[in-house]
Amino acid sequence: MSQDKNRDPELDQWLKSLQDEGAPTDLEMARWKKAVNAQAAKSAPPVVTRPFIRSFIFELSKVAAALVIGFVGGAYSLEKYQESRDQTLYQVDSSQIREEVVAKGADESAAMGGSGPVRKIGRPEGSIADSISTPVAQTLDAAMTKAEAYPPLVGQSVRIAEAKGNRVWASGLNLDSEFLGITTAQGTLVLSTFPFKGSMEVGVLEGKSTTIRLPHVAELRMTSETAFLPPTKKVKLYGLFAASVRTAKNQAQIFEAATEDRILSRLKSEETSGGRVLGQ
Amino acid sequence: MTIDWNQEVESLGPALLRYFLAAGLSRPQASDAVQEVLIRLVQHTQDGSYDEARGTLRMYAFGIARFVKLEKRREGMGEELHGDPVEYAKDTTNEEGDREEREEQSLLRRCIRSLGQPEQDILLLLIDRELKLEEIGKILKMPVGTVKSHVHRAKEKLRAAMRPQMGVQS
Repeated sequence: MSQDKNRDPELDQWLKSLQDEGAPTDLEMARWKKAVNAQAAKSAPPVVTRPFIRSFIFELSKVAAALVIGFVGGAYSLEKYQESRDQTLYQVDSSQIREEVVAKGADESAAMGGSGPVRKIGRPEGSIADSISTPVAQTLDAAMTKAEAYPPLVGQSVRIAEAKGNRVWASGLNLDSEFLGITTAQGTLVLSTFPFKGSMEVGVLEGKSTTIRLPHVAELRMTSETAFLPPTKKVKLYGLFAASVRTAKNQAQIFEAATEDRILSRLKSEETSGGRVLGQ
Repeated sequence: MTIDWNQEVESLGPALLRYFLAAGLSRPQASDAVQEVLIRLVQHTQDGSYDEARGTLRMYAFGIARFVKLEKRREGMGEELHGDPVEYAKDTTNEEGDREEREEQSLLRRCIRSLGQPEQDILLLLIDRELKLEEIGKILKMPVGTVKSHVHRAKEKLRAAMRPQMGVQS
């Protein structure tokens, strides 16, 4: 029994007679306890029985076990699937590359400048020669490197005109070839991003417009509605001008070729004919 | 929070009974009032009304007892034995006590009843020895210093009231 030191002892002495009086009887205590326990049972939250807890924990453990098994099994299956997929992809790539090499041959692929089926299957990281160490594959790899370094001339509604003046050499051309020949009344202009025989650097190809500078010819500007090359890429433009091969006034002809030999043989045949005027 | 209600009944029951007897209720009425306080205490504990951080369960019980006492007084039930020590003596179980002691208790009870409301409440709560002045202050919602002032004043009034009859010396 704690006693508060702040309490007045004299007053406590007076109240002592009241503090000691009126002890409850056993009957009263029993009645109070019964009433209190009844009230406590009435308003107490429902008691969770042990069997219920046990069954709940059992069900919970089953769910947890199922989750763990599912997670581990799923992770294992995913790993196996990725392994088999990688293996399959590797086999497909190798077989496709070998088929292409055998079917087309190194010479033809090189001549196509990498625009053949080999380009369609995609180039693996590193060179083909790294993965397949054959002379054919090495040649093919060199051809693809060449194709990347010397992209084809591609453009929509291409217009070639003198930079100073109003003379238009050609307009409305849709280009998609490695070598381009334009014959006008001024002469024949052959253009390519590849430094073919007899050509010289005439400008830089980038964006939608480029300037062509040739000796003894007025400065030309070639424009296109679409970009010649992908953004941020630019390559040197090579050209050759043959003044002896030309058309009649106000006429223009274009010819394209995929290889250097074909464009040069076409040009040579026109020149050897005595410099005739095309289209007549 | 788990409460052993049987133990609480044994601890609080006698104190509450003394409180109600001192407040002037008859023995059966005081016993019923104790039961009512205990039942309300259980209800308040389980519906969250009782906050352990704000005070002890004993303090809370006497807070309820004070309201119950006011309710009983409002109903007029506490007037039956007021000022009638002979009838009160019949109700008490302490039949062995001498007559002088019962008269002194009756006189003290009447003196307490003659006090004003705050002092009377404080003296009734002081009958329970385990209640501290701080707890009485919390029950009555007043500072401890005010409780002490009321105790001092109540003591002076009791001394003045009992002096001519009991010869209490100051």
